[in-house]
Amino acid sequence: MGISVSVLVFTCISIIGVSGVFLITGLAGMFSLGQASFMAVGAYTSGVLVVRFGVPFPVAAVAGTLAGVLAGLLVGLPTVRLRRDYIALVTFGFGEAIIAILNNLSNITGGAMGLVGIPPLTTLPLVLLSAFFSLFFVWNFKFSKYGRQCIAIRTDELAARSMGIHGDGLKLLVFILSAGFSAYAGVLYGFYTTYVDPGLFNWTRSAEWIIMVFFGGLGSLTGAVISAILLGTLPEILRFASEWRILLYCVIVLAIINFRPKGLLGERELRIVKRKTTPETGGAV
Amino acid sequence: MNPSVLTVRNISKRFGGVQAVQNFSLQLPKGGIVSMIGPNGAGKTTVFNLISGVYPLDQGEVYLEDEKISGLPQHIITRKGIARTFQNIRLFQGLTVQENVLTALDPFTPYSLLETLFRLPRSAREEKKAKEKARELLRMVGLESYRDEQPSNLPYGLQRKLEIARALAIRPKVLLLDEPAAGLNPKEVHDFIDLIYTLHEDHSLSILLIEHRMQVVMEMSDWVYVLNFGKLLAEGKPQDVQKDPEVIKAYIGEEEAC
Amino acid sequence: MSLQQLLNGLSLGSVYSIIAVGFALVFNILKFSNFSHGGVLTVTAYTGFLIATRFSFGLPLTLFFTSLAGGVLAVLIERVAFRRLRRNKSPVIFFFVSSITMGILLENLITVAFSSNFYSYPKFFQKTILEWKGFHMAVTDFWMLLISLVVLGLLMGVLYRTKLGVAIRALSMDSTTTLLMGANVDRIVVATFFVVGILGGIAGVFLGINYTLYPQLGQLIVKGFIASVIGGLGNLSGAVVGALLLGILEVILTGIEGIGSGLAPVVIFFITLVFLILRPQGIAGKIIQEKV
Repeated sequence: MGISVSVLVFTCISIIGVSGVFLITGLAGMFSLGQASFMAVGAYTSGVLVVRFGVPFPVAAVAGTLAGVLAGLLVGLPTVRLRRDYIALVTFGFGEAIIAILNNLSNITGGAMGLVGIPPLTTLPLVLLSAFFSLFFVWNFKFSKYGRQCIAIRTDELAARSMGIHGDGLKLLVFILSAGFSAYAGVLYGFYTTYVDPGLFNWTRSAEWIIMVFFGGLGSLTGAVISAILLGTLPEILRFASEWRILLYCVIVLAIINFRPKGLLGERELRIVKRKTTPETGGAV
Repeated sequence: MNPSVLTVRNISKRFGGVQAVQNFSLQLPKGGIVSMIGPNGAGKTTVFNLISGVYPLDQGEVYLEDEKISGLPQHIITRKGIARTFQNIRLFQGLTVQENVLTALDPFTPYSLLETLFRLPRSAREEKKAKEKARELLRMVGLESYRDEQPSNLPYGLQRKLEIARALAIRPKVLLLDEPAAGLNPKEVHDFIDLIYTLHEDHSLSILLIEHRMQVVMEMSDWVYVLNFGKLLAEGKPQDVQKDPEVIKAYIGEEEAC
Repeated sequence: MSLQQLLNGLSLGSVYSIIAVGFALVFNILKFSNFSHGGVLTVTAYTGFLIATRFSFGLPLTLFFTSLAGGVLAVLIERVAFRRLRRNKSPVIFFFVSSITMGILLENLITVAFSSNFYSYPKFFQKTILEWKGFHMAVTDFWMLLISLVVLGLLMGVLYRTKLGVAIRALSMDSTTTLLMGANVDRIVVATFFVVGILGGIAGVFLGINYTLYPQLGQLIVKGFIASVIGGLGNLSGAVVGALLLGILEVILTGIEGIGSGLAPVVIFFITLVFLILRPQGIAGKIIQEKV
């Protein structure tokens, strides 16, 4: 019973992170290998505030998320107008830089030994509620002018600009939002495991989230959620060691890319949510 | 007061060792239809790209009415009133036909991020309005029944029409059409010319056209500019240009069946 | 900066340059950043270790076998991760994801096979330090520098004086025309990957010697990436220059009191960022303007 609660919690945390990655990679087509580092920013900021300075949890949680948003702004500003390959490199570099900084500030962060003694304040209801709202926000985003313009940018940035779409502005917006989601996921993570260390937030974790989005289908939020659930719970159920889990991910992704590049759902969404639709758009968007 | 809605003055552009456009000037009178013709590789699309801000100018200026637009970012130039279509159709494949038109309306649709995330009433209202505008535009080009289709499922001629509907969504003052009749059969070309004329009348559009089809050029243009190797070869009324010996020489081997 | 530091930096940079060139070659041909190369580095590093310890081979023989192994591995990777994508003319994003996935897969294969223990290469040479007029250089560093230069020279020879080299360069400029000219594009791509694999095999052993062996070794591919960016993505000589500069920079930064090897990645990151903003085409490259 205890095992399945933690699986649920971690899956929900993944869902929150994956929603952010869906925005940045699925909708806007950018590859950020540094999402996990924003998670680290969130976890450490809130953790340190509570452990070292006795700040109440809600305040620390908000601070952690805002710190992630700020970091997203700082990193995103110079990065989003670069070419796709470069964005990956820069976000990777930022991730490494964050880990290096966290390792070095051992007085505050505990260095490579990690930050211990974070009170276990993340509860299942909190996590479930957070996951629900993350999905709610991202769903609304997708089916709005913002989502459409992002997809346009992803598909053909030049044509999008010719239509008056502010490519760089939107990419930055998405980058910042995504960092916020990751940071909040980090907050929940830290206050559940009660311990964090810099090594947990490396680029492999960022890549995992990207892989989940791919597996579900780049343009599909429900697909991303399904992947997060599947890929998150499967190894727990089957009790694989963590290295095998990653091997499994990789094989899945390679298979998807080769044989079914659209992923599980492609651009479509599963129609499980009854939306208040306007009369014309009765069909799937 | 400038009678021309678009003024291009002495623009030049070089790519590495190739001078793609050299010292080219052009005037588009308000409400007029002007064509640019010339052999392949003459630099016509590059001129479009320079006007719409895809490439920065090496030299020269571009004015929209009295305002200098050269040097502005691409999306700003568009919002000031210049819309274009592309030689190879560049529709957004991940979106439906209606959504393609909506994306062009989106930069102007007034609701905020917060209203979006929490699905506040104004966002739903403005979305509805935008969707109605999009349907209206699709109706204008005869594509309304296809609105939920994927663009790639449409026949070629209809994809071209979709590009036009999308461009019109911007409410442009100037419309740049890059070989809009390419790949169409004679009947489609005829329909197409009718459509352009109708839109031109109804929306007082000024149109700058790149075309190879002499039929289109002769029928539609008030004035023609001929380019060759990036330079202006000749300009004038269509019938005069057609008879110009220099122009004919440049086109030998490039004869288009009319 | 002392001459000694310069020497150290150059020998480090020469290893980076082999990585960078391997990276740049694939970028030229297939137009994407090949992160699977990191996996090749890791696997060949461990292979070299196994060969050297099991068979007690010296450095040259080890290098011979690892470069072969690297070449074969790279060809396999092309087959599995990229062949279909090329056939389907998939968008560049997919190549990128595929390469990263491959890299992660290889890294984790090694982790599973060897666990996260650290291993180190056996000593190849009796004398460990070379001394000359007060400067010293580790013998291994010296050989790395020498061998790197030779390999790069050979590579240039292949690229500019053989039929294969011409084909590779043609493919990198225009794949459609090359195809129309009757070239067997598949074969050229496979050959390129084989060459890249050889380079990776050599670099892998050097990295293994320099850094001791651990599964995340392949992440040093990022150095190759950074070097390519500084030099100009796709531009081979630029990649070499960028790599040498990077090596020297790292040595200098590590030597500075407040920075050391801990914060050196941070400084390098910022420098790369500045570079990308101010001179995105790198030292030697030209920005490839998309033909609309």
